[in-house]
Amino acid sequence: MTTSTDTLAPPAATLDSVTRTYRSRAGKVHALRGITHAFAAGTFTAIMGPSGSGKSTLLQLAAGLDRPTDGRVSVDGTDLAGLSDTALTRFRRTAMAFVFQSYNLLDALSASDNVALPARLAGRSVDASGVKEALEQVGLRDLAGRRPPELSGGQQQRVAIARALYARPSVLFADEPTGALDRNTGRDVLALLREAADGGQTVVMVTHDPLAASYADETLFLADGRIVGRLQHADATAIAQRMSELER
Amino acid sequence: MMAVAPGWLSRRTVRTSWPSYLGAFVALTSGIVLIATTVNLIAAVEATLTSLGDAATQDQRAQLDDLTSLFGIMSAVSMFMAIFVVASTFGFVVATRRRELGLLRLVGATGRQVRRLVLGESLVVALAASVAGCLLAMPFVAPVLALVRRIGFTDLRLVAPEPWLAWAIAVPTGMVVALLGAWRSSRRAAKVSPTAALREAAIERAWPSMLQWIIGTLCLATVIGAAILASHAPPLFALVASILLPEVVVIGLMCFGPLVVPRVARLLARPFVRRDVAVRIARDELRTSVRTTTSVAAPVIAISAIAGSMLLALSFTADWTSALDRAQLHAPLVVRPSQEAVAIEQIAADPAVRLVDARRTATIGLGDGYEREEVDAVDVEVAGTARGLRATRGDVDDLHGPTIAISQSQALDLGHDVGDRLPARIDGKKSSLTIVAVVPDAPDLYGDMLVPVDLVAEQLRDTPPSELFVMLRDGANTDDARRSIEQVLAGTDNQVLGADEWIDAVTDEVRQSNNLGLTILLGPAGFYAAIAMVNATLIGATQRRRQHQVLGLLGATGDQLRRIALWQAVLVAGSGLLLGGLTTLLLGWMVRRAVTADLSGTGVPVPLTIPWLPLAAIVITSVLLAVAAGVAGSHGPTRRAR
Repeated sequence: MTTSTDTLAPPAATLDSVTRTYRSRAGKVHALRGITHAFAAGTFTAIMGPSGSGKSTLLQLAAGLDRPTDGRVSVDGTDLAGLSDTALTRFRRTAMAFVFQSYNLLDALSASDNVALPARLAGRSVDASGVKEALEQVGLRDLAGRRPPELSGGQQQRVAIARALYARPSVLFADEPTGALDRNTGRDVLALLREAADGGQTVVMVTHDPLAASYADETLFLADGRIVGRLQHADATAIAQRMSELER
Repeated sequence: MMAVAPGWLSRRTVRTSWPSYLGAFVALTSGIVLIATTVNLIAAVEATLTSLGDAATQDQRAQLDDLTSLFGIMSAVSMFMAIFVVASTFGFVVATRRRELGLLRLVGATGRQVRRLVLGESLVVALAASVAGCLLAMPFVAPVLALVRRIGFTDLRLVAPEPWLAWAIAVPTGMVVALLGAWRSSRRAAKVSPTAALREAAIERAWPSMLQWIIGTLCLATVIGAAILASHAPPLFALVASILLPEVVVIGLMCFGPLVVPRVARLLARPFVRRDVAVRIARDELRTSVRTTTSVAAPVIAISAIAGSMLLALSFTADWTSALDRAQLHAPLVVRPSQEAVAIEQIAADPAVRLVDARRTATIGLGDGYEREEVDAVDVEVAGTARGLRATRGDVDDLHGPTIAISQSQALDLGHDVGDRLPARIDGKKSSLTIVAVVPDAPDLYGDMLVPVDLVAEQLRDTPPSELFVMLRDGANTDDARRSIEQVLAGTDNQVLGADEWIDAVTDEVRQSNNLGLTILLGPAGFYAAIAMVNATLIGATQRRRQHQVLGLLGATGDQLRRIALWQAVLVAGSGLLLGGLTTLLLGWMVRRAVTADLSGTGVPVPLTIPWLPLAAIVITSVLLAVAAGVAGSHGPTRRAR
């Protein structure tokens, strides 16, 4: 079993002996093999690993987007296994937010409507100044009325981050958030995630870019469905070196 | 609180999702036009009857009665097509938005909210389509009524009805059907996993749901059971079954559609896959987007199964009646009288003629409501000799006085038997007729109900016979007798025909009238199926546009892209036609078996007439439409890819 713990702060999300196995025509595929890890509150964790190592599966399980074959996942002290589909959705929209490589915005809605969408879905009244503030935080206050097709890739990703910031969820999950962006825009996005963590939110990010991982407090390395190493406050060079060792 | 978000969202998302709903809009609008038009036709018959009032002649009433039944079946077929197509189109339009709905789930929409969003959007589209359909149907009324008259189904000028009734029926039907289709797919949409948003493309689920398994299995089991039973039942029962069962088959097939249609398409593609890469790509795309494939095939399956089965069943029924005529008709010569009085005595006076059996009909009030029914007035002895009139139950010799004989079909239809009494009103006088015999069906020789001549003697005085069946004396030469009778009738429009000639002529007339009836019955549904098929092909093409652009970037030439689209259209239409054809074959076999079983003891061979021309017309029209829609749909991506 792979175990990794952090005792500095109470965990925002924990995975306890989590296994995920898929059935395919070729037989069973073990995406994760008994992962145990706690993501401490207010920290920024990067997850790295070669393709097929189980990074995205780990993120989806931690976020309750997928259910483990075995083991337990809890977020903010709530065991996700005990929740029905609807209850899980309700829990997810208040406790978690997502930023993905493909920006995942609704083309029909303006930037500000996209930011306010989770709140509206939750039936909460939308605080217009809060939405503006979130957009301002990502530098898009003037583009609040534009719809995604009228924005650049970097701008769309920043709208997605504003959406994640506005709800102030305890955990923000990001899957390759800079994957489709140029280096400069990518840095802006990473700085925003760093700010979120500094502001007390927990950020969990899957990436293959050592520079992106260097913004994190801790980097976990996955291989073959297991955690095979971790680095604290490492720079891009150290992370790149560990990655190349893994890929050898 | 929860209701706020979906309503707010529906209004916004429909702005960008309208292109995919355009197809659903077209399907529903034309469906509403179709339903409204058929209701208008039925209402026109009523309006005409009301406007004629008591002045309506018996012939006019009979014509209007026929039109009511014809339009009734036409509405039923049209309604089925509309319901089927609208529900399936709404369903697959929702399926095309899988990724977007997954995204909503990802940002926190519950399954219920996604469902309400989809229903909200569908409601907006359904409302718009209902209004458009009703407005579009209005100018159709006059030309359609004129067309019915021109085709020759009636010589009456049908009165255009008020549009309200059509609206009152078409709008709720269309709305309910659209929302039912959307409701079904909204349930599916609610189950879309949030991770669906993270996948660029998803392989659509082909496995039927539990409900689809149950309904599909029930439908197919019903059809197979009914087909086995009906092949032992009277032919008329098989005929009715062959009109009702295709709809059941189609529902059953569509439950398994995503499982069956792509496999059939794959089978059809197999011989060509190695020759052209376009066929391979077309086949693989059809297999991946099973819902689109099934929705495009749906109208083809429905119309080819319904129209094919009706064509075959009516043709085999005509074969049956002509064989029945041959089995029973003993008279070697038949005279078809003109309108003028025919010289029966003069024919009877011919030395070669043994007797002349005149077919005459009268109208009496029959049953509890004294409904006006046409009955054959027969002289049992004469009709027994010339037309082979005999009883299968009871005794035709008892057909004297207040009695009646009924055909086997009538006995089955009304549940009457020998010994039952029927209230009757003859020439204004009430009486009660005892059923004394059940006779074999022979629709061209006599009708479903026969009474003795003396019962309706008064009416017969003014009624000319419709046919004269002429029996010759033993040893008389038929050709000589025919020439002799022709001489007697020279200078009149009376026709003298040999028995076989007469049967052929009557069967030809029946087939012509069948074709006319089928044109009216299936015309609107067929037209709608054509619109639905083109519509679904175009929606499918829009969906695949992005993939075809990628193919273009990867080096597919414009010609290759067009061939892919063409092959897709041909494979889907071909699969639809194959499934529809198999249904036709099964139900045709059922009618054929019933017909041959019915005549098995008579020794008369039953002709087998397959209406190749109309069947080929269905196949060719479907393929041509598919090709045309495929070409039109491929236009956009090929241009853009270049």
